[in-house]
Amino acid sequence: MSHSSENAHAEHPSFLQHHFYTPEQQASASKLGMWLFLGQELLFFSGLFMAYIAMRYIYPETFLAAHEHLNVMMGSINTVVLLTSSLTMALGVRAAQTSNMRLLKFHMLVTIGCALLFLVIKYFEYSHKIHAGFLPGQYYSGTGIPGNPGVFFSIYFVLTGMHGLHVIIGVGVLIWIYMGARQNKFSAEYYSPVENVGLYWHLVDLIWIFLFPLLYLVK
Amino acid sequence: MATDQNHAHHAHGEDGHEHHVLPYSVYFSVYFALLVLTVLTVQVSFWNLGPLSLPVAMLVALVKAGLVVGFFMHLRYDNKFLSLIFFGSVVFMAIFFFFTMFDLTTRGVLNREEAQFALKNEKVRKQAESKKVSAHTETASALTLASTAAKKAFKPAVGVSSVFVAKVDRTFPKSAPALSKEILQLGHTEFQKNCASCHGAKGQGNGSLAPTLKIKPTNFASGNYRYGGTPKGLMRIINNGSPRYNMMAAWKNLLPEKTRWALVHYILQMNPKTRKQVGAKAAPATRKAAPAPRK
Repeated sequence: MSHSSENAHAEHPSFLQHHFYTPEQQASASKLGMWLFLGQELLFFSGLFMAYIAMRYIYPETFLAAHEHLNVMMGSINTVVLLTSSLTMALGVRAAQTSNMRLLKFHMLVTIGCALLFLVIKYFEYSHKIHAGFLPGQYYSGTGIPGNPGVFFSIYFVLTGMHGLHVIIGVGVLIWIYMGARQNKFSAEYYSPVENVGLYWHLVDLIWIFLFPLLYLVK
Repeated sequence: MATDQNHAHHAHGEDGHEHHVLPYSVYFSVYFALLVLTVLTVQVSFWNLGPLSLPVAMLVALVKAGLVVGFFMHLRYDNKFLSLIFFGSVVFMAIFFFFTMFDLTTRGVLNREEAQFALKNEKVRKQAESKKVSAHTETASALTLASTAAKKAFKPAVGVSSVFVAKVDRTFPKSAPALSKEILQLGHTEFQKNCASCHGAKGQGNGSLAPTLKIKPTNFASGNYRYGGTPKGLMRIINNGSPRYNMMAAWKNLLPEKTRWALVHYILQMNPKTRKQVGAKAAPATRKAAPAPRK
């Protein structure tokens, strides 16, 4: 113990909070916190997915018919966009691990661009639904879907809406990382914020990986 | 900047840093695999695999998720405790999904068993009270009906969906008789004869048979309807019962249509909330008719 504290005093890097002995301890603590948060996110989304499963069980014909009104092309493009952003995010973390701030900034910009593209495509999808009257619950005024289409669109909008909210928050934290990279805050010794934002961004991608087949590809 | 791929492969470098820099090839092959799997899952959805399509789509999604979590999120190379947290959450999700589905898919079976159990209880009770012949005979027939209908277990016409509907449509179809003193009197008589044994004389859900039912009869006096309490919805339940969820019997073939509408009118007059919404004009007549039990 005395050894490590002496070490900490000897170096005392600026990014090391005073309540941690070593940078490694700080990094692993912040990563642990992030994973606990991600576990909570999984449980949060599981409630929404459970609503989907239960309603699909009760109204199978509605879900089958309603998905025909979702644009598989747009959904597929959005899937590819998010997967690409996940790649650039992972490469961004790698750039931080190798202390390459220029590459980190580049990857952050591409990731933010993908996130915005995702939101733009989502906007077109939403406006199409709204114009066609495919709205949640009592506001549903579309035609041609048997059973209880209002329920399907309640679930569609809540699930994709919560996911979209995560994307919007993601854009915010990605910009924060970009700003940090501009100020050379990160290095191979200290890149926890980049890594944790990366984990968050990959989770957003992960949720979409399940949303996409469940909502767009029902058969 | 000096640090680079030197302390890459293998976590515990000399300086103790735990990061693990993966080569570019790993990231790009994972990305390529994810794209291929995306194309595959879209393609498969057009093959019409029928009941297999959902498991196949979920399997592909799980493989994709595994790639993202394992490589992009580095879980494969990271502290095993983080895997414990992640897969711990997944296990709890599985428990949540499994038991909720277990509940949802087996409710019909449980209600059938309950119907039989209540029938048996009812027989015992009837023997004990055989001298006090009265409304109970009708109840027994209602119970028989409920259990036979339950065996056929069909999809509910009114579903959980109505939970999402905030505004309630209290209008009656044109074919239904209008609210009048005479209709309410008819509703009152029939309610006391057919419904009161479970729903209670004043519709408070406290009839003499209510204690034997695990799912309690609806309390009409509260005005809180689980599925909204629209005239059409009430009529549907009176017609079909709800064999899948509880012991409400189907009355479509047992009572004439006018009587069934009279019951809907009578039920909606049982509490101030729906009474106001249905027909303010007929209010003076209803106030007398609704709460007063005969005698």
